[in-house]
Amino acid sequence: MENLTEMLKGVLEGCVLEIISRKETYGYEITRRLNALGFQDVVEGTVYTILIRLEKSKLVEITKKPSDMGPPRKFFALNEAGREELRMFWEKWEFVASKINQLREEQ
Amino acid sequence: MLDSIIKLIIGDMEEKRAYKQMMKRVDALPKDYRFAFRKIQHYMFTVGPPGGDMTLFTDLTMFTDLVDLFEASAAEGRQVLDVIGIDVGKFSDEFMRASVINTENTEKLREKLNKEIMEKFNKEGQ
Repeated sequence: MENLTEMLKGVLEGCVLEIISRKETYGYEITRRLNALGFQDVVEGTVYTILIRLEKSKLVEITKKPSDMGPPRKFFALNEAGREELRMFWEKWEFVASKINQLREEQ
Repeated sequence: MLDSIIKLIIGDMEEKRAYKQMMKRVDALPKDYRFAFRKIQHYMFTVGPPGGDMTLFTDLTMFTDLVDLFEASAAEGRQVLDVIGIDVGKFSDEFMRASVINTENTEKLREKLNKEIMEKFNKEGQ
């Protein structure tokens, strides 16, 4: 789906945390995962921006690993604070989603 | 605005050297990336840092982060437009916002504002 940028604000960070929580990964791989999921408009630059924020918020551990082409890649893994942040994200998501559905169902 | 930024950058020899080194890396990028970088940089200088914190431009971390991204994407053969998307203005704004280290200064100002407002209404509420 297209033109989700505004709606995805805030949610995308949770998606990135979830992807990182599955396995250690890097920016471009995260981007491709989101694209494959159906978020075609999400570009590498957007994911990179989110990763900068996560790094500044000290939610991730970073390991540099050599790449076949170009400079070493930064691999991201969640630390304890990152796991807590992810747990909170799903809690908030459940709340918002259930309330929005409730609003829609109400006659 | 632009004058003060130029003064900030040229004002300090060490900073000037670091800036030159960073721009050397920009010059070494493929031309599409180089063009995009310069345009984004110019846009950022023109609109100014969110929250008015000039250290965002003098500290260079933000720009070197952007060069890091561009170098890696270029080396892996991706097109610059696929990296920054078609809404480059929005990308630039978000990138600046993410790069602003929540400076003590803004943090203090925010706390002060909250405190002053709260004190005023708490007093009146009693």
